[in-house]
Amino acid sequence: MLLLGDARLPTGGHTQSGGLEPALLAGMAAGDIPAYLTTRLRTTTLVDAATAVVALRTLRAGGAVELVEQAWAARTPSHVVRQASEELGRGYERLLTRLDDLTPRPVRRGEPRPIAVARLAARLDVAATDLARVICHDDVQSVCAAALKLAPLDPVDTVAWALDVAPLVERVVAQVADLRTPADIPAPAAPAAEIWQHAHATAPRRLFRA
Amino acid sequence: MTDRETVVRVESTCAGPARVRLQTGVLAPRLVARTAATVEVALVATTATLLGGDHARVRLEVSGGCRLVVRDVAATVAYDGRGATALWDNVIQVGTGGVLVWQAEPFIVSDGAEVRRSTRADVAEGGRLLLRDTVGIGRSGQTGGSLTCRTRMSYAGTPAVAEDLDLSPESRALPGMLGNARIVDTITALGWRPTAATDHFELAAPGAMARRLIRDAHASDVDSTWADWRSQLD
Repeated sequence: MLLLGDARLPTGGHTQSGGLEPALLAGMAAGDIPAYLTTRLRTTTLVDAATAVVALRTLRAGGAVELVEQAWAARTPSHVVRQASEELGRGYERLLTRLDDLTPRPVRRGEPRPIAVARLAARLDVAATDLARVICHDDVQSVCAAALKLAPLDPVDTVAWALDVAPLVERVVAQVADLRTPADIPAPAAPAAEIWQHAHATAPRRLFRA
Repeated sequence: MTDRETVVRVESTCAGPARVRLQTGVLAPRLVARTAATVEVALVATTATLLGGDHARVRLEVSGGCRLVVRDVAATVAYDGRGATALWDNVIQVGTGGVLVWQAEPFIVSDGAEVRRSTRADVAEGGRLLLRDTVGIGRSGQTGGSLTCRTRMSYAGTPAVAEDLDLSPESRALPGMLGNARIVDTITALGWRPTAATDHFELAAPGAMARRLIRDAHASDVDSTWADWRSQLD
């Protein structure tokens, strides 16, 4: 599951920088990238991990995933940021159809990344805590992998960053592990990062979609 | 110290002007104008607000067919609470066909103030809400106290905006939170979709949000967005 959730697989994750490219374009110092990982894990990533866990429980109970998606969308006010997540969701959905059937078939409209990954987890019988960890891992690795393309770095540094935030990842996992209903999903926001990512759709020079 | 609720409730009557109920709390509502369908109210501070231990509660309700326009007379300053937290809760309800416009003046969190704000807004299908909310960290020359803002808005029973903003000194120092800004200036429209533009968020629910992070209040360029969205309600 960690491998399937990795940005290197052909789910389109390589097009995402976890908001890092917009942040650097907006003037965030490259030295702030490790702290930026903390911002993500305390805000967007926490929302996504919680959304995924609630979606997984909802899928297993045969409930309405639309309500989980509405809760996620209310926590993601920018349509640009929502679309980026839905594009990723399409990639995961394509992967899921290939797991079930080797003939590629058209995927439905993209669901947000956390819900698409939750579908994968439901299919692969992954536990909620592992799903939350995958969401965090994917997000941290998206930022770290993008950092190598956007700033002059020793690749070992990014591994150290990922290890440094591991305790915070475990805190996120513990925080979301028992969530059940859409209203349980926390809603922490990072307003500047949101505005930077929103502006990225119209940025003239960019390597990443978001 | 007070925790009485400030209430403005506007209901239509079959004949004659809309019925208005006003109750004074930390803020006193003053009727500015009233016609058959439109009520304009100003919110005036009754005491030195906001102090540690205060719990300000504001409830604005407008029923179908009525229009409520609310103005603040002055900015609100949350003073050094000397260790005590101050609370501020807004509750907004807009009925089907109702319109509520609230251009709130800035809410400034001084050094030593610790404030928890919440805003709950429920707009029925066919209702419309236009809200301006400006929060500032620190008065001129200050680094500012601690502020958390919890916002939950729904349209036609569906979540539209859910946000917990942690503007404690520790949180706002993180990259991606405020940058070098100290003011968060937000306009939220619910119940209709203002003309699309690249500089605002289109919500998944019918509505939009325009937000600027700025250093000085007078530098905000959302005034034109406010005027534009406001005119779409006429």
